[in-house]
Amino acid sequence: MRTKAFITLTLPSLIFLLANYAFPLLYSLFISFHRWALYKPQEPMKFIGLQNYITLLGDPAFLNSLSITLIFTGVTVGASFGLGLLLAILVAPLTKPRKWIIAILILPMIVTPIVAGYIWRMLFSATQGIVNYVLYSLGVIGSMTELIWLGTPTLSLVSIIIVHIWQWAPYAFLILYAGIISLPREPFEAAQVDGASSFRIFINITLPLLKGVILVTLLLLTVFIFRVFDVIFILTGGGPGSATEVLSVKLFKEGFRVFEMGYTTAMSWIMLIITALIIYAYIRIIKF
Amino acid sequence: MSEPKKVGRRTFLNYAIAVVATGVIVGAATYFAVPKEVTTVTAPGTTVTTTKTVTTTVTGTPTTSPTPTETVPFKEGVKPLRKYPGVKVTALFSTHSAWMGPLVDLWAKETGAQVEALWLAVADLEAKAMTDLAQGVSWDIVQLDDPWYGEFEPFIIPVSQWPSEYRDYIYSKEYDLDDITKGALKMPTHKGELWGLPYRTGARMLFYRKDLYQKYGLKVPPATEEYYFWDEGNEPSLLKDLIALKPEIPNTYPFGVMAKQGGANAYHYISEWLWPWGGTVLDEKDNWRPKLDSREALESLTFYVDLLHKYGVMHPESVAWEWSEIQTAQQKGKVAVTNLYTPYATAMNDPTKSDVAGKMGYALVPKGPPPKGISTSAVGGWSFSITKFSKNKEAAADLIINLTNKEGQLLMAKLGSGPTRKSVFAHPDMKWMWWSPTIIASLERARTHPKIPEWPKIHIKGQEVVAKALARIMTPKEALDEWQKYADSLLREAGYYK
Repeated sequence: MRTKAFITLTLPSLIFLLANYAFPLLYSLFISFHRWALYKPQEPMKFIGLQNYITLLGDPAFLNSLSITLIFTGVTVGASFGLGLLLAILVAPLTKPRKWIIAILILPMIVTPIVAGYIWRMLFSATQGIVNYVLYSLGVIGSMTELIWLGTPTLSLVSIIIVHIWQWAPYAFLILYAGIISLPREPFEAAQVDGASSFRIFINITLPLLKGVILVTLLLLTVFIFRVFDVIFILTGGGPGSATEVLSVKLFKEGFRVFEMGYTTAMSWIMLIITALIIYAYIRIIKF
Repeated sequence: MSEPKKVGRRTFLNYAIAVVATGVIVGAATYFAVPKEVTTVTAPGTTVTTTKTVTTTVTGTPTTSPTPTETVPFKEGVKPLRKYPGVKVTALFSTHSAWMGPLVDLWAKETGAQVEALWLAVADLEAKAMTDLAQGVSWDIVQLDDPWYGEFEPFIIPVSQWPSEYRDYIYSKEYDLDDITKGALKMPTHKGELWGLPYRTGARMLFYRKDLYQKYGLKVPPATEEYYFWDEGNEPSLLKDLIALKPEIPNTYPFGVMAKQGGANAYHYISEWLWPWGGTVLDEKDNWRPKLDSREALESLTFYVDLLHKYGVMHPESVAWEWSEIQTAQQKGKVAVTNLYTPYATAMNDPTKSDVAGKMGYALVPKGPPPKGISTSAVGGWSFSITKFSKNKEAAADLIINLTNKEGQLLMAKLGSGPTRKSVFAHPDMKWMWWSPTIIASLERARTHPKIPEWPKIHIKGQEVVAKALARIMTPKEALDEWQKYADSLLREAGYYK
């Protein structure tokens, strides 16, 4: 009877999950072994084995996108995590204005990515943007058009990293803050009685106790930032050249501009495998 | 406190099954009762009677619309050929054409038909149309940008295969295809025949600050005559003007373009430099073989890059600009000269939106240097086609005719759309558009981009290499060589030539 009830209650969810997650995922894997261009209905899907994967791994444009994605993800995750941790440590001991500070800090996180993209596109504008205006007013730059944030290769990569740190550091802050305030008080009180410095307490007590929370934060940040698309597409469209063409932007172009579905799904599977490897590495390194 | 009542296992199971069953029934009922993704859009600034279950409002004002000061008599624009009571026409429309919302609704009211339209932004429209039509989803009408005809050909039917009554009407004097400008008619023309009817069109033309030209004693470019971009001889040319303007206008850049990658940067290069220099990307007469290794291609791209880096006359932020930025830059007086699509002229002259209203002049896109330089432009705009999977071809054809006939075009033009018909430009109500001779001259010279299924790939590669040349990641020669190699390999593999 117990088994029957278990099956009856879980079956709808299982069917839902299989239909909505497993089937599309497996179907995309199936497509990735085929040559299939949507605009050529007269040429049916043709099985080509691993050819899409082989082509991709030998495609300099794909490898360039992959390296840009890794640089972008590495810097953004590192900086977002660092900033989030710093903010969490600073805010946790506060008492009264804490709620207000938290509310303000998490604002960027709740802005829709498309909106964030357009906001920052205006802020970075050389003619009307506030960023260059402030820098110009402070005498950092000699003219409003000295820094073309979204039009030069290095600066455009820096720009998209800045915007994503702005958006994701609050997320890291929120999780780490929740972790810090839920830590037991006793180890800290004992360390203080023993005369340990704040830095020692942080290294030897706070961080080890937060290990699980840190792992979750890094995992989620990496997974989310590795596949961001909207903001980059709005800000630079992957350009100039391919300076900010992260994998998700390349994937979008191949899938929804060129409609080469086999090639695109192969790319998405490589992205999935890389994400899985990164997650595995995190778990191994932090020894969760 | 009393102890909570215990629920037996059987009772619990019964409740659970009842909840799941109710959920399934409610879900199914909702799914079938509510139309998915089907919306009616109210055109910005106009009042519309909604006829659908779900109503979405496009916020904002059309960018090139003059502020309507009178109530546009939509009723005059609807002349259905027949009534279609109970017929449902489904359509994929672009939000670029939100103006026509009231006209669509009025047509539905007059004919008794129901129009279920999904309004999408350009990129979403292309993706949605392709993914749906590739699966045989039965949309009746699809709105297409002119370079898309090559890839959408397998999913649409040519006008010659439209229901005979409507096809004959289209070729009759009453509909008057000859009234449509050459450029507009080129948009839905593919492989020598019409695959749809043009609704909204524009061509590139030169937008310049007449007041600055006059102030600094420069001869203004002629409105409808050919003019050089650059000439080694003594002929007046745009480059000479830009160089002369540069020191005089310290807070304004002489020239601006929209060269953000992924936007119009490759179109821009092709239509304003490569073609006027006498070059081409693909040669239709030579089995679409790429010609990016030509002298004209190299000279034109070098000139484009030089405008930014050597002559310093191009606004440095142009490389990050799209439609809205270039328009704002000109409206706010940040650039003196641009090449833009003709419908943008309306917004430039609207004093409620533009600081340069009344100060603008318009001319043809300048031609490249002699002997090969030619005056040309790129046509751009939207047409409507009927899909192969349409179940209501008659009603679909009727709606398209009403959106593209003289009356419909006049109404849309009053709201700021780029008209396709000469009679609309000549209409007394359109006298405020004093620059229409330049538009017509531009449209007469305008070309379309290659309509082959591989074009999107070649175009995206072009966007990348042109952006690299402008950012000096590559030299113009390296950029063109990479583009040529890519296009050649792609087209060779696709079997266009051996």
